[in-house]
Amino acid sequence: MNFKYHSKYQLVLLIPLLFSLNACKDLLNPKPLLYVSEDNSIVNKKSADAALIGTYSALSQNSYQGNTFRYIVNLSDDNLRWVGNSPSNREFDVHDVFATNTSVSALWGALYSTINSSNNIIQSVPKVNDQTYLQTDRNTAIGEAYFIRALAYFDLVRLWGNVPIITESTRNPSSGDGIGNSTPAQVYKQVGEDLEAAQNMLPANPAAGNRNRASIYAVYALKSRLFLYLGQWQQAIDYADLVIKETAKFSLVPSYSAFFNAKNTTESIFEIDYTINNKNSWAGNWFASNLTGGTRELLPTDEFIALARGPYGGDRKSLLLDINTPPKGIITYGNMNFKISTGENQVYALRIAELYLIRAEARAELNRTAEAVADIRTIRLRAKAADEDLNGLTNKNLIIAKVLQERRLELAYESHRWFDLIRRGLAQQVLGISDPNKLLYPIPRQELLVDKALKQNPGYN
Amino acid sequence: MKNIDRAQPALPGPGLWSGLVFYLLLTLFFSLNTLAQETKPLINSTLKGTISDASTGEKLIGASILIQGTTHTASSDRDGGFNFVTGQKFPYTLIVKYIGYKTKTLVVDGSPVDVKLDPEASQLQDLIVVGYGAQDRKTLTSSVATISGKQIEDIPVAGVDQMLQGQASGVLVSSNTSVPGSGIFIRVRGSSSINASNDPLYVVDGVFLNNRTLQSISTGGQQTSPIADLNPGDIESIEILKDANATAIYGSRGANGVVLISTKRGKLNRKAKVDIGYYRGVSKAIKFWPTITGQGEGILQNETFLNDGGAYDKRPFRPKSEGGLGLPEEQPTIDRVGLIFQNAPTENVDLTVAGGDAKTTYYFGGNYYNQDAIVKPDRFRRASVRVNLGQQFNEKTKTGISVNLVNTSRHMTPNNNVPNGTVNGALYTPVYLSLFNEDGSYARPSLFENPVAAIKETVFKDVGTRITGNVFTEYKILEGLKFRTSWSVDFNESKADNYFNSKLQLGQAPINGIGTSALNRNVTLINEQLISYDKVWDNVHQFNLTLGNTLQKETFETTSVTGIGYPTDEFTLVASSASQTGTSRQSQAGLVSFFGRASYGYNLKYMIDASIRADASSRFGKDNRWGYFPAAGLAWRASEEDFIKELNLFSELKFNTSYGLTGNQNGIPDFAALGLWNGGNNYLSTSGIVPFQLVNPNLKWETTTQFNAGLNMGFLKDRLHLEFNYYNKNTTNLLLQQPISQKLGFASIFSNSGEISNKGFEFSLNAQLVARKLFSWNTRFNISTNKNKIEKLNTPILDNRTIMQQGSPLYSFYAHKQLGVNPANGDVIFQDVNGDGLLSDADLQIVGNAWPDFFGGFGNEFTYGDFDLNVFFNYSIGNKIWNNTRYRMGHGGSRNGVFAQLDEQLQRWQQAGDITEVPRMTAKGNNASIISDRFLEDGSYARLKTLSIGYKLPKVFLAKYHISNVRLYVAATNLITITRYKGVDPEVNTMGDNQNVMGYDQAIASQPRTFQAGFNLSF
Repeated sequence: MNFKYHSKYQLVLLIPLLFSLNACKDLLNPKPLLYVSEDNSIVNKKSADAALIGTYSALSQNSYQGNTFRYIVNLSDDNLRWVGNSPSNREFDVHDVFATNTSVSALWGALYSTINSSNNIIQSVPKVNDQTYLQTDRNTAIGEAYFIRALAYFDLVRLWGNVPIITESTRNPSSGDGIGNSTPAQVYKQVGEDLEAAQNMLPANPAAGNRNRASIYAVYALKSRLFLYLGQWQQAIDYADLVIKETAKFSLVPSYSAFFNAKNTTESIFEIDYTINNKNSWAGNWFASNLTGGTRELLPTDEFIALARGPYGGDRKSLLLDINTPPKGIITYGNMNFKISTGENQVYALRIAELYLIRAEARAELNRTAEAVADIRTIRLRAKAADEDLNGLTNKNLIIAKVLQERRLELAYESHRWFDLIRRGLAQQVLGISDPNKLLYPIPRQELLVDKALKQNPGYN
Repeated sequence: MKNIDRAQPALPGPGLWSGLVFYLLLTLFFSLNTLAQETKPLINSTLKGTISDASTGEKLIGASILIQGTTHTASSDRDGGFNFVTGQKFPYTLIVKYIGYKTKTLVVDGSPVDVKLDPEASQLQDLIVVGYGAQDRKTLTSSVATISGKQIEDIPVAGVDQMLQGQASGVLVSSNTSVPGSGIFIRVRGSSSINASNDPLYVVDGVFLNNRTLQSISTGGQQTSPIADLNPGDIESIEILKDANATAIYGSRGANGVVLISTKRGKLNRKAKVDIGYYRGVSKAIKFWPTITGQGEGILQNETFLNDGGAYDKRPFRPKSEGGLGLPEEQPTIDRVGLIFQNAPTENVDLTVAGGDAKTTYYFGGNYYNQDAIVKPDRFRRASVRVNLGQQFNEKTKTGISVNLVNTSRHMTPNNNVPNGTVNGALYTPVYLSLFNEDGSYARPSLFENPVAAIKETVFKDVGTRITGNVFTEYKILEGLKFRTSWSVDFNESKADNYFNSKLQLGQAPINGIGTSALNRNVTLINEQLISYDKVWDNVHQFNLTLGNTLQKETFETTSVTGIGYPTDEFTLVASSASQTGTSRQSQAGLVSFFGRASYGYNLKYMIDASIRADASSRFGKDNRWGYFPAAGLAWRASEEDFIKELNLFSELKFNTSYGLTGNQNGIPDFAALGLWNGGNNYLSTSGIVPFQLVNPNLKWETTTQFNAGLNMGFLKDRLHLEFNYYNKNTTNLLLQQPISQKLGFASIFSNSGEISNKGFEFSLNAQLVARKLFSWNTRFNISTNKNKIEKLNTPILDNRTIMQQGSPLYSFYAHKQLGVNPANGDVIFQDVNGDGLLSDADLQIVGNAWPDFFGGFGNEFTYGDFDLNVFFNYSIGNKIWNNTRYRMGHGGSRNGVFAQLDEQLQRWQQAGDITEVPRMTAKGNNASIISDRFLEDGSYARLKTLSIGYKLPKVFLAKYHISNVRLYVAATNLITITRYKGVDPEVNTMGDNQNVMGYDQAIASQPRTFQAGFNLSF
């Protein structure tokens, strides 16, 4: 055979090399299609809007408002008992929380990621170079971000007390170097300042509009709550009034159960929204696997059941649900938490009933007892509960006790009771906690390992 | 980065694809040209003769015979004969050439001639495959373990990874689970990474095999293994490159060792050889969990109630007449565990045809493998076809094509680590509770899935398609100088469908059925050029130079859709559902490399070699794109020195040492170095964006430096061979998901930080103890140690009962130390490490680790006449296992009756003065649920891994039927296990999807004990 022809074809072998050279450039710079780069994150109105939605998404995530926050706060109080099987969740019920607790760490991380999202809006939106992005729209976005940040710091200070304050968006791992724990007073001051900023930025007199996003009324309501915690009673009353007087926009729904049977009723000032695309897993904690695929770790305490089914429970007892499938005899807190398949159990972050009760408590503190009793009565009657016990009440302390009981029933499982007991100085006695340090939670152990600027709360290591 | 909206093509860019297509066409073009060539020799005179192998006498087909000074050639026919018709007159000089044989020149003076060719020296050597080449084992300066076909061919196994277990020193292999086709824990010389991969690089016939699992729907800790796609029957040999000198040529992917797999190919001038193999087998569980009886459960629950201050007449297990559940002794014991296990059949069929003529070689391998898991209804099935073709165009040019088509199919169920897992449902549900409700529906009285429902109702299938193709051409430019270009594609696709109907925990009302359909695809394209030069001067100076480049592109895509709410249980596809959600993702990485190796040997006595690779990877920060990985090695074969020869003791005595750098970049996300925001963070049915990851422009490879010293000794003409190796690996700049303060809104950042070392000794022995014609006995033994240590880590990292911290090894278990149970009150006494009188996280300590002190294998092959016997043990000594099954079930009453208990719970403390390590029953407080080292156990074991007995039918008998060989055999796997471990099997790892956890046992079935019978037939 003869292969002479090969000599001229030998060069052909090199042709594929040309293809490879061509491929080289592409190879080393693939595009991350699933992401945008940091520099491209907030660059115009559209992306700023998306970042704000992202901030709400962070607020609503399961690790924060969606589930973990509710789980920890409510399990810590005397309305809820733990019947699950995961030892780390049990720690909240027995008030012996370890610094390695994964729920504590998840919530801590979620709160600060929400804060970082807010910081990005606050910092970047003013600098966006986009003619179509009007100043009023920018102010609204920044105002909403301030509100969300205030809410997050409020939750942080209530749970941990001494937390670091971060107000700059994170660009590199050394961004927060040296920022250590602040005192609770400093954190509360930050919350107040953020709410003040939000109030100045948000439209002054909006239509009732979107209850799922922060409005100036949500700012008023959260301010009212803040002043209640700070014991500044008159301000608490003033800010509650600012919302209560807007009766066309916010009012108690006639029937108690109406506020959670439909979304965004007039009851809600700020309601965190969930849809099938943005679910939470809260309901799964309440219902057993044989019913819904849940884990049934939480049940109402016997004391709460007795209270809700007693004379002062009224309509609120209708939330208690007897489970008749085996094992029988279990009573859970149904309906409100029952949207397990769609994961749409809304968070009623601020609703008008709370403002009545804030006002009642503050009025009582200022010895405006008749007005205080009137506010309690408003809530009682809406629930169609007995109110004879309120007749002729003039003792400030008795009235405050009535307010607390009313809050326990009306705002059950809406993450208030644990903080109410603490701020009124009742937690140790009511919950039988001997060590006052246990009223604050431990800063996650991993945080202390990586951040030398942080100190653990007293009573933990 | 600016252009965020630009759509990308779904498949890797045009460059590599067009190159591949072009190349296929080019190969075809050459082939056609070859066929078109016709030769018309002149007819004048005649020479007849035969060509044969000088040593075996085998007739050689297709040898070329040339008359010197002319262009006239002829080639030998099927019987080795040739008939030369030429114008030349006797005498004249013939040049006879044949591939693989020394060229022979002879003067002929008359017909016929009988030409005997001597095989080329290389054919006699013990050639082993190394990175980008092959080398004589004697001249190696590095540490390479070989698993030859002989070693494994008589042992029926399901997958390649199982073939490695216990067979090579320094290679730690442990099955994670009993589920066939799922992942296996494999480490070559320890673990050197925390967040990047610790798996070795797999290279099949020079093609990098993608080792990324395509499983996208979690089954709870377990992962499907892409290596299970390979048919063990196609494998000729496996080489494991262990030290830096062997792996540095693989640069940024060499640090975890390299597993080179060579598949079978046909040989030139061989008659078609047909092999048929078949076996059937059955597998069953080795051991079950000792769960408590219904009565025991009743007693313990009553005791818990009473210990916690409950009133006697309100105890839960009191007579039904008093409103209770009935007395403890009236409780049934319902065996759920027995319901989910089965005697699982296995079946394997292999058909291979291999052979070749003068210019073409072919290998065709077909395989069908079907194995049911011992836990219903899991199943693994593999059908594969491999075609390896080689074509010699002329003396200078050859080309080859390999194609492997694989179809795998898996039936899966959620397992091990999730409440709806089959084993969880069977094991954890308290035994007194009934399996069915009164209306016949599945009962789920506890947290867990009804195991019968899980088995019968779950639809969970994963169908994989894999196409691995390679085409290469090799051109001999000059004698010893070769150019090779190679194009490969590894296409791996998985289609997973699951459906949990309304009878299952996950799909019950109000969900009414939930189903997911996911398509995942990973495509790797590789192009490679190689120039190699081999030269021997004066018969003593051996020189080799290899240079090359590689381009690789990998694209991963996944698309999935989930539906909720199905009209009835008959509808299983997402299209029938009420609401649907879908997602799709894509990721891509590229690698550009150049490499070279030079070696010099003097008289097979002194050897030195060095290699270097430069890699650029898209995964790394702009400021650190290129990495360089050099290595060098030395070897001295003292046995070639006269003073050693005079001893007349050694047939081989070699000292070798090497040092080098290798890298690791696998396993981290493709875009780990970039500062990114991601979308899909929804609120109010609008998609939002949030910060996702911080930028690190300096991100680069982790670098492993490795020192190796080896000693090889052969005695008695190599009938006894010993090999010692010592290695010291140090990995710096770990690719670490470095935890950062979460106050920044991020939990971690990918960075290069931390150091891990692995040091170890390896010893292996091969001996031909008896080599008589009637009786032979070969034995193999290996033992290895590996000392792993985290040399540097800025902050400790906690992960599932384990901690990674400076000064301790990886896989360290972190728990409270239980000093005992207080005889006075029945509470556990834990060690108060910091002496503050409180039990807190500060009292957690490392209580052991999952590393064995030493491990290895011991194999023996006996033949007696036509019988053969193969006995293979593997062992692991000193490793600890966290028995989380015992921890969960040893809750001491603290889990509200949700979990069943084990028999050992009956040894609990009952009254003052009791001495026991099991605390009292109580649902109050934390005492019994605190993580205690009571559940950490010694996981040492030795196991008769395989035992097989075969019989070859006498050849005389077979010749009549033109059959050359028939072997009948029976084999057993996992026949005997010697261990003190209290769980069902010490070879276990539930957390297969978490590489930083090893030796974690949670509700996982034992390895199957398998009995097989089969035959191999050749003709």
